[in-house]
Amino acid sequence: MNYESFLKNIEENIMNYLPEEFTGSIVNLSQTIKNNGLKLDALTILKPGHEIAPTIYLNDFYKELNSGKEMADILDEISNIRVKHDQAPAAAENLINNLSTMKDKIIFRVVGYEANKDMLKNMPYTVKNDMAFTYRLVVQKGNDGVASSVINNDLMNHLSLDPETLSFLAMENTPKLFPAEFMSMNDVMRSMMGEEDWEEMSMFMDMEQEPKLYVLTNDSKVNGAAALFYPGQMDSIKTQLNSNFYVLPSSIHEVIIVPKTEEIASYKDLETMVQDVNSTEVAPEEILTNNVYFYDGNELVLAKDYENQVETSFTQDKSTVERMIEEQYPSMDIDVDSGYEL
Amino acid sequence: MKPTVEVEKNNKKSTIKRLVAYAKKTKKNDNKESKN
Repeated sequence: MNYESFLKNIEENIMNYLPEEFTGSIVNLSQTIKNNGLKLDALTILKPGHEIAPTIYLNDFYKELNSGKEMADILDEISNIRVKHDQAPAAAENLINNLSTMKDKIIFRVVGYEANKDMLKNMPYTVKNDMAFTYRLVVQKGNDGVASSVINNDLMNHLSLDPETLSFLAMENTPKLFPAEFMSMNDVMRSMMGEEDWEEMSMFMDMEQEPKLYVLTNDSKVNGAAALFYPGQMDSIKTQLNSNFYVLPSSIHEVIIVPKTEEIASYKDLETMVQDVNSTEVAPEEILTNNVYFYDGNELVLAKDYENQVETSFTQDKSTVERMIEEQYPSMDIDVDSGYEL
Repeated sequence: MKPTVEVEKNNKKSTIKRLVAYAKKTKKNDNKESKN
């Protein structure tokens, strides 16, 4: 089945999978510009008498179809998602009309800045390195997903908020609503795959990594890369690892933490790895950036800037040593390069 | 004012796929072999 037929199939048949209370609903398919300029196909099922409906993106379901899932099972899953989030529109209306409640539900997310410049034109955002924080209003959070509305310029004005207040509220709320999870890579994979699949994979592949990798995400594993910017989060990781660390932008959903060890001569190998995985394994809309970052104990910087800084500082230090030797032993000819180590 | 409510869920398979890709590229024995 090609993609157009798949969309048509959903549009024509989804009502047959919904309970009676959805009779008379309006089914609508539209296209939305999402992360990294990606266009996604969005399904809304608007019940009679309502003005807001949850949006369900269909592109991933097509992947499931191609992986062997039955069309009927996909329709059933979409129907279940719609039913489970039936309270979301009313909750959204209540939130927007109740400023005190609404303020506790404002969160931030992180996306790549360059790849999202067009999308960011219509919304408040804050730039951090080569990333941008965007803001959302969480309507519902459950085991089956997160329902939220993007805070664009229209909604921000409607709520009588400004970007600074949004940023302040989001920094307070996000760690509470989406607590950070920091675990070793193997522990995360084991918990997601289940013990049986993990054991099976371990039989075929050596799971011991060098350097050891850690994963930082949030409890829902949706847009969990933002957890990196929770107040105190990077310091907490540094304390746990007893080391400064590199950050690999695995996706908008999680980042990979790599402790700085002697084995890592340069960030360049890590950057090649990120670019390679991004181009082959990560869905385009889930790519965060292609750069590696470094936490030096004070702030998060681009790893390439950090290494340039270290090189500059090394050159300066050498000049200082040269001057000292010249002052103390004016008649000696000493090669200060020998025995110098970073 | 009609905001859009989006429902997003974690795609477990995609997450595992990404993590396995990184795990494969940092396998201890492979790194040792390549260093040797």
